[in-house]
Amino acid sequence: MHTKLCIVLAGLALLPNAVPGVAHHAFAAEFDVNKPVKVNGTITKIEFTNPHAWLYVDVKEPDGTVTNWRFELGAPNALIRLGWKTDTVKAGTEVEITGFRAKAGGPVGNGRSIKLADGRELFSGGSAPAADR
Amino acid sequence: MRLSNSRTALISVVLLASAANGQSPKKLQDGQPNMQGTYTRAGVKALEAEPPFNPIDPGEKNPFSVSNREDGLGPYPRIFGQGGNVLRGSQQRTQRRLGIVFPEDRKLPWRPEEEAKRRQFLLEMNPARDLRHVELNSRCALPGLFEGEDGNNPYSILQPAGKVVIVYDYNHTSREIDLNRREHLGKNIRLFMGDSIGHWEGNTLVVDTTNFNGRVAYSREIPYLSEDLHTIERFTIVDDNTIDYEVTIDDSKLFTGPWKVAGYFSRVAKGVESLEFACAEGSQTLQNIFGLPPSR
Repeated sequence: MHTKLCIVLAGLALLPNAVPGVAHHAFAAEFDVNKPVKVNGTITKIEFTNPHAWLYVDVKEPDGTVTNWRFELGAPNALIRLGWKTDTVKAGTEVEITGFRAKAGGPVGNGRSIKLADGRELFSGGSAPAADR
Repeated sequence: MRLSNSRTALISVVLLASAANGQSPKKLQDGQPNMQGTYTRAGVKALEAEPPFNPIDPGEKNPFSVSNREDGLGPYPRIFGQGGNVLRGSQQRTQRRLGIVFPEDRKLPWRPEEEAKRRQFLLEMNPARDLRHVELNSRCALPGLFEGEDGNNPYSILQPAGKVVIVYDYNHTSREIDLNRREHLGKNIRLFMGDSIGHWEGNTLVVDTTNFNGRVAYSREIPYLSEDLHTIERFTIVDDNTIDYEVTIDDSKLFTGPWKVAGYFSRVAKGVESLEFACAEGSQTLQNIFGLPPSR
């Protein structure tokens, strides 16, 4: 996995001259910038579906119950072209995910960053608000 | 010998002009100049001057944008828009005209009453007043001519005899430009991608498109165009890797006159292929905005 993660991380470094682009949908219409969320948990699955990939994470609540959160990532086309693979992160991996909650509530968010236990960070693609303009 | 930046730029322009004029593209069997291949597009979805406040726009003045957060949660790493650089790889790239080129001040000739309606419509997109106020892209609508994405998602151009077919990576759709027909379809036929007829003027493909269905957008700031939309596009082969693009947008219901946008297509690096983008597969946008429908 180490090699694949390096590809993902290196992909960012090779792309300094960005041309502004627009994500598939507007972040602000679907997610709430005033409701940031950070969870620590265990990846249960990743779905490379269109128009966005989704990462599912089991999070232990203070009362011992487990909630399965899902976080929106970028479109599979974009993720794959920038180095992601379907097995870049595997079920069972411990992660810390930061993002913003969906407007409708529930255990749903837009993934901003994905930190692994060893401190490395993966880009998520999300709706990438700051990258739009 | 060192050259000043301006002299270097001048020489570069001359060299590019020579290349453009001196290299005629190969002709296909039906006589069409060959521009087949896969390209990434740039510059087409441009901002007008003084755009209206748009609550789904992620710009810095928008209170709904993460761009304003100073707690480490915004802005996001730049990902979208990087795709064009990845797709091009080391292919030759030249500086081209981009964005709204007419009117020169980029102030679009809105009909005042339609401009007021557009501004009100934008305000009702966040929170979305109803399904109609959720942007068309989020609803996986076909993208029309403009919403096919600059950057990440390439376009493949095919030229079977008598036609030009543009296959979109984005939303996995296509448009077919008929080079033999001279009349548009009947007005009762309305299409997301419109009805396109074209002809070649030297190395420029000129495409006339009508019959739109009134359910396509130009951009996030211009979230709809009307059924009266009529476009004339010019695809000019510049060199092996570059096609200049200019589109005249005429929508007499919304605007008092036409406006023009320029962009270009760059050939992608070898090995890049079009991938499936089945938007309806897993879109959860409506659920994330409005919640789940009540259970029965």
